[in-house]
Amino acid sequence: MQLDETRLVALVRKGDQRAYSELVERHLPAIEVYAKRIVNDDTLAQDIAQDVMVVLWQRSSDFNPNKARLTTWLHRIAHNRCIDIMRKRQREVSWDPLESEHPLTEPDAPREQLPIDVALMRLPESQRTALVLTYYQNLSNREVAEIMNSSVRALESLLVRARGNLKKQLETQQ
Amino acid sequence: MNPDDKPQKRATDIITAYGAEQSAWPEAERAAMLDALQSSDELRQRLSEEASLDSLLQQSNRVATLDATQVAQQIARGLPQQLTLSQRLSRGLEVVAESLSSDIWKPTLAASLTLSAGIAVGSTTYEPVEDWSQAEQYSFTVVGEEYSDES
Repeated sequence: MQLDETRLVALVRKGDQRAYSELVERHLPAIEVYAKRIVNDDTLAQDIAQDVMVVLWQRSSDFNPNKARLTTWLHRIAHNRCIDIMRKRQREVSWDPLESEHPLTEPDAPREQLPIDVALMRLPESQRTALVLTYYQNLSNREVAEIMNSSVRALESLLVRARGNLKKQLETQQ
Repeated sequence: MNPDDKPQKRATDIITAYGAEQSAWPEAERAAMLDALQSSDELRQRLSEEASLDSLLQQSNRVATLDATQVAQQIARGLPQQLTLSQRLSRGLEVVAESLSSDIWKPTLAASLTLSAGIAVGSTTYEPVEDWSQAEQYSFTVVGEEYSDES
């Protein structure tokens, strides 16, 4: 039987490693994939995902189950980490996520970027985040708006622009 | 704008923002969306266009490669938790309560049994001493010296 997440978080607060492990197994894959789609850098995305899990271990008392689902809280942390890292890199060098200094490929299995992934990476950061959170991460529009610290109307506006730009990008690639 | 156009406009906005999949639409508006779709060819056309983009979005195949169990173990064993003062106090009290309810009972039981056994042995083999001077003589006799009644 799966324990309720609120109960698991309460156990994590008491230092229960099994409860923590259960939560990491439930949430780490989604956070890792989200970060990969946002920063387009596998190594960096894994670092971000692990950072988020460190926060879950060290600062679980900051999570309020009455305010949000755990997945929303974790996505918000991941979102903030992604933005911090991308903005920091943009300040340091004019960083293009499509040409990150970290290898985008696995050592012995070069991964070709699909046209849709290239098109997604060409979107402005906020449009990409809105689209990825809404389309791939199984979150409601309210939750996505909360993660992005925005309103639902502003989110919808971003989504309309994101999908429109995506179509243009894909047409250009053809 | 004609009031009758409002649901159509909203339906168009939703499809343009969230795509063609019903599961992506705001839950509260799904029923109205389905009604609007039934009565509008234009909306169905828009739905079909957005479905094409959705199918392209589904081609994106990013996968998770981290070992969740390993990550959890490394973090939980390697990093201390940052606790608030009340959590620290609460955890300290729990530790005391746990140790009282688990480990302390063993030495306590051992001491109790020894004491009980001593009392039992003492009470069953007790012989009252009438003449304490005799007992004192036994007690203060230097080892090796013979006890003499005459001293």
